[in-house]
Amino acid sequence: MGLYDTVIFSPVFDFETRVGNNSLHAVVVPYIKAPWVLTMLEKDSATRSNLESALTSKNPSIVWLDSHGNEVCLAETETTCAVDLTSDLSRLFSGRIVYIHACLCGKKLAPAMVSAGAKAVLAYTDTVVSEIDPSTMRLTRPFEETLLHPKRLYDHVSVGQVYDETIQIFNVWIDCLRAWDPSVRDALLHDRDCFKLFGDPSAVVQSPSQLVASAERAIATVTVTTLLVQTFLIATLRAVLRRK
Amino acid sequence: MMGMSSLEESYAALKKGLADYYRARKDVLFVVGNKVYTGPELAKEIENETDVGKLMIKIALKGTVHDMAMGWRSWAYTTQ
Repeated sequence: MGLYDTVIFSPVFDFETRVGNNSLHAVVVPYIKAPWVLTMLEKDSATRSNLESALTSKNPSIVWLDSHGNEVCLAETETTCAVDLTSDLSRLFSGRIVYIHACLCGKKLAPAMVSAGAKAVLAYTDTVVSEIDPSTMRLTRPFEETLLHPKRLYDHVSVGQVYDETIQIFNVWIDCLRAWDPSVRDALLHDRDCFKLFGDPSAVVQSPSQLVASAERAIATVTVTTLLVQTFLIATLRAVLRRK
Repeated sequence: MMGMSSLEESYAALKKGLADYYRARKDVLFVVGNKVYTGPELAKEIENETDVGKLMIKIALKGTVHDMAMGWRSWAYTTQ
């Protein structure tokens, strides 16, 4: 439980949430590999109580929320909220990195999560516009590559780096589609401009090897410090003995 | 467009061009907020200037401004 646990919350209650769930299964779920342990809350299991229970019992480092939303609420169903400003945000999100793939949650909910102790939250401050491929019932490629790019959080890179990479991918698609599909280009431009990072850009979940390297550096620092202190003490002792 | 200012004329032209563009795109599905729209459905939203229509016009304006800032000719939704 803990460092390499992650929870994905993806309710399916209408056509759009079905598409979002399909894209998650095609792009994000296969991307999550060991040491990560994924708890997938989707369809009937994607309830407010199950989410709260998973967050408190699994203590995940990364939380991925995928649904409809508004300024103060991430939807559980068409009429209820899975997370809102009345939630115990401190208990649920403190110390975690969160991605909210939903409309408008960047307005109030994401800043409230950071105020409640979340390390960092990536979210959208306006209505998200995207395109569906009717043949696959998934988001089209430009939107899967941009809106789902925060999957890179699972590569142990910082939230700031993931944010910068996402903006770069938006820019590449915006340039590519300028002459080909202005409606998709404009939607991407809009989504890019309302994609925001809240909290600490340096927040990261270190990989096991990064943790070992950090520990080795810490031990080396302690060892050098100990040697210096010992040398100083011996020199002081000698000086005292010589005086006597 | 008699009696319209040049700004109003530009807005009307963009709105018409945008609606025509989406009306012609019968094969696309766009998610805007909590709902999915076909091209012709979006064209109606734009013509009626509903909240979704206004958002699509805002997005198209943003794209046009982006093109102008980049020094690119903005051709996308003009109907001349």
